[in-house]
Amino acid sequence: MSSLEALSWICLFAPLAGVVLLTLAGSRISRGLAAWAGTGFALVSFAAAVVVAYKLHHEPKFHHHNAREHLFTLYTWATSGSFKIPFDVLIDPLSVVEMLVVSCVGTLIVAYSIGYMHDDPKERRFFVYLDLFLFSMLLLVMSANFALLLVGWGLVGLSSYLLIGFWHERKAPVDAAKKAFVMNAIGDAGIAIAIFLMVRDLGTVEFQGVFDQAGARWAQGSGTANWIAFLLLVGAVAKSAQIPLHTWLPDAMEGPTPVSALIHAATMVTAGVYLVARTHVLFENAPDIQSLVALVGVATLLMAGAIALVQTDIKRIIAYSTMSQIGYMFAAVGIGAYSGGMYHLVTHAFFKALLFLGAGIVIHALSGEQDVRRMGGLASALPRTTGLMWIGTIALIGFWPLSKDAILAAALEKGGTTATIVWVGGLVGAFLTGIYATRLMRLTFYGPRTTYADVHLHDTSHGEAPSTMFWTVAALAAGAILSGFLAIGFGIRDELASWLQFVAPAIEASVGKDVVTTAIAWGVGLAGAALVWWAYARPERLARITRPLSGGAVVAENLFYWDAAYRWIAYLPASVAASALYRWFERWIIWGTVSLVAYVVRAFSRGAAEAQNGVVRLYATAFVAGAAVLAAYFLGRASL
Amino acid sequence: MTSALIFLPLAGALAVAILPLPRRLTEGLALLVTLAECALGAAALIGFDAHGGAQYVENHGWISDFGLNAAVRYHVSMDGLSLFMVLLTAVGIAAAAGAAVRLGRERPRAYFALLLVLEFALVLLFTAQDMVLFYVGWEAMMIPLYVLMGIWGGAGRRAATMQFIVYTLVGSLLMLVAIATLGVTAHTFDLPALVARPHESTWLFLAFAAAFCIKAPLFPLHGWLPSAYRESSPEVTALLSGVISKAGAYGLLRFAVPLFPSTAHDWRWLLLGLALAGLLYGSLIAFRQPDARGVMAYSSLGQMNLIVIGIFAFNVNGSTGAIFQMVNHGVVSVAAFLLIGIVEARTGTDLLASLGGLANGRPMFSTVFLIAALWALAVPGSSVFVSELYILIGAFQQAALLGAAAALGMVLAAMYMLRWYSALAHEDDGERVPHGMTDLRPGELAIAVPLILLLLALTAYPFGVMDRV
Repeated sequence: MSSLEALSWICLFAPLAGVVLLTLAGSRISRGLAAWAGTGFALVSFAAAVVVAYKLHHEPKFHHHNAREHLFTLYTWATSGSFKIPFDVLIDPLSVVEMLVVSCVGTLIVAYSIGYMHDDPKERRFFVYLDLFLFSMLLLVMSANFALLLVGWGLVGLSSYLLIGFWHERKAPVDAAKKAFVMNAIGDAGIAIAIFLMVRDLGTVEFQGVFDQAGARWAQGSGTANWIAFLLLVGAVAKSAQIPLHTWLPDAMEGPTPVSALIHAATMVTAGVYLVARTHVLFENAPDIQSLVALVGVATLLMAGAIALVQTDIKRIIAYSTMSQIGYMFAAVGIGAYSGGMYHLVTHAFFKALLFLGAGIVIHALSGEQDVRRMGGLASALPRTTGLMWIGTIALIGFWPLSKDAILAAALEKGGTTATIVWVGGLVGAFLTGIYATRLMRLTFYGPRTTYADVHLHDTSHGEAPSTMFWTVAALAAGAILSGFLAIGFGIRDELASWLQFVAPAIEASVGKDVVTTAIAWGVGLAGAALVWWAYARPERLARITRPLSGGAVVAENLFYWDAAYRWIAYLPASVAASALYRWFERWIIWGTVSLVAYVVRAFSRGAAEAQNGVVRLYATAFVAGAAVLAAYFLGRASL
Repeated sequence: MTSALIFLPLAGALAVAILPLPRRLTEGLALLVTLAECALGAAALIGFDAHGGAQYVENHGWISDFGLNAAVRYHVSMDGLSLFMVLLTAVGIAAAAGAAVRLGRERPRAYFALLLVLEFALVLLFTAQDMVLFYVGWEAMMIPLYVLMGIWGGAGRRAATMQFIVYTLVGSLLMLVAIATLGVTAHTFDLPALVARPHESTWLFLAFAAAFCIKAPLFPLHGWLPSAYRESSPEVTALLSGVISKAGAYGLLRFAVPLFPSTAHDWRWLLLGLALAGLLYGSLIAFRQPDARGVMAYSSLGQMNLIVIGIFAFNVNGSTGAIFQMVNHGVVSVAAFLLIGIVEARTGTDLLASLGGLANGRPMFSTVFLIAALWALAVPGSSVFVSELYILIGAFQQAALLGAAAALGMVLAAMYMLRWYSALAHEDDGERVPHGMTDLRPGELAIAVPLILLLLALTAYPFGVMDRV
């Protein structure tokens, strides 16, 4: 086993070892030790990922597709004789980027949880679940075949279910957890059916085998090519909370804040983007579906941006923002700008985790309050948190990671109807982002402090948050700044693009279009921010601006009626049908027939054995009758 | 080896029935026999040659002239399918015996003797290579079952047992006629000899299929199932759902299809259609059941129909998946019904509306129920997921729409199992949950944990089973 292989397995299995050991240890170890141990396993994973990335980076970059690509097989997991599923991982530039993001942000957020979950009686279990999530997510991004990818895909959904419903004493988290799991099960089924197609037509689910044969087996734009891409898109849409399978994500905010940051912002929800980038060969073989990816992304980024404008729960504002930002990533991979989409995924992981964890400090400081209308004026009490939140906000609006601009520039470079829609929609979205991001900051940290906040604010003289919380947020801020500055100063965007070039080709925007797009995007973002600052300065000014928009606000406040639609179109018909089937078909037809037959038999048996009673007697009677019939049959045949 | 596996439980049954031992010793002896059977099974697994076909063969004359020139032989052996069904039986009976010891059944000597006779019959029918011998096992399985249901069951046990008898009797008689006819026309009851010369007969195939499909049960032949699963004691329900239903699927795989391959192939659309309907129907109904047993009962219906889909997909992916799913579903539903039994013993009910909050401060409860629920809904990565994936791939290869529609069952399973788990485990303690109810006790863990570990082992290495069948 090469050291690269050993390190890859360590990276994958370290969190699983954490799950097993912490479960076995149970309450024999202290809560604090469980928390630190849980973090330690994540850290081991991150360290291994860093070394893997380093080693891979120092391999020669040949111009054939096997460069920097390693397939490691542990064992054959399942087989039917004709179709095998190996337990294998693919280490290549794309998976390494994801491994780094997942383990790095993952370690920071697990560490943050040490402080955040300190007073929770189920603290140990929380760290088991976090480690389970990290293992699942790493399996998702490292697996070298679709079946194992689906396993990781489903297990991150399971971890998400367990963590959303972590506080299961209340009904809301339990319902939210179930909703998330079931909507994701729809996505899982999509990927599963895509796998059925691959096995039927190609006999393999190995990435390499499928990508190599896909073009030859399925003509571009043919029915099967479209179906495969569409079914993968169903999975991606469900996991990444894009229209129409997005309604679970806001509800998922019922989970603890570190969970929202790790799973529902930085890593799991962006898995759909990874899937499209990883399987871009299949999407390029179905151009219509790939355009659909982009259109779904644009629709989601606009709708989620609009809803974020009217939300009042600090975590839900950030959740809709996440949905919107993932919309950008979908738009990017939908027009073929894979490295642009992946770059936005990376920077978003840092700045969105930063925003969530910063919000977590605020919520923690206010004893669990999440309504921005009850906050205000917190900048003076939480100055350092405010500063960190500004870093995240500026990154979100798009001033320095430039990752959003990269997507828009690529759209302009690419041209055509879809790309034009992406470009226009992306700029409108940038305006919305400027508004909702600034509104969040304005309502939370500035203006007069509400009496509620005055009463509930913790004493912050000993620091704004426990050190494990504060410094991890600071580290994420450093990551957000770094990813931005490196992009400007050292061209990490180009570095990432060339790093990914063989796995996920990029669209290079020409310099002019690049600069123009950036200028426009900054302009509209800044306009949105300025509008908020200007409008919120005076209540009557705000009222005057929002009054003509009240109709739209109602639609946005009702979340574009998706939940209601699902209730009426899917949930109610299904449960009414189930009840009706049970009440009428099952009770009357199925059970009725049995009772009728039983009645007849009992009548007969009463005649045959009057004095006797009981089921065994009945059985014996019938058995003898049967034997008699049989004997008659044999005798009949024998006499022939 | 095979004979030892068959007759050890019978000897145990006799000993338990005859020896006038006090309750504790009777229970201990019975449990010891079931565990010894597990150990024997494990030894058979270790000595099993993965690609060696039928092994541990024993073939002796028994009745030299039975009817017209057709000899009945004591011919038993184990191939992969038989081996894993025997292992499932051994594990299921041991777990059921453990649960019965914990719950303390009245008239223990009779109860445990019947349980061991049931094990004898099951092992016999899973290893028999002679049709008459198989039929002996089949009927020998029914008799202890009727008594276990009819005497130790719940309040409505009489009616439930009656329905069960009526249904299975119809099936048994049809099969008896079919076996006799086949034996008489072919002058042999020996299975390998019969399979070597495939037959074509619509009526014989349908007679066999009907018997096995009632047992499985295939939709809409499941009329006996809900009340049988509700009225039996938890360990008998666990065996009905986990092990005995597999006898039906086993019959299809071992007799109905190989004896009449072309007839079965011609009729596959009837069975596939009914099975698909049963999968979706059972899953939908499970979603609205008010009691924990009801959800698992209809879930079982759905899962057994999925297995039938795998069998009649007529390809290696479908059948391998079906066999592996028989093992998985067996362990999962034994575990689930025994866990329900623990809850019933503590609270006196399995009505979901009266339960809840089992996870509050009871980490063991929540963990074992969670694992049972997750495996039952085939969470990706679990052994059940692997077997369902293969069944669905097989179904898809047979007909794309069939596989796609059956995949819907995965979504429905998530809906009803999460409802089941949440209703038991989440929110406030239910009204019937005693104040300060403790977590699982060591005796309960001793039943649950081995089953959970078995599921984890199957998950880590499905190849171990799939390569042998």
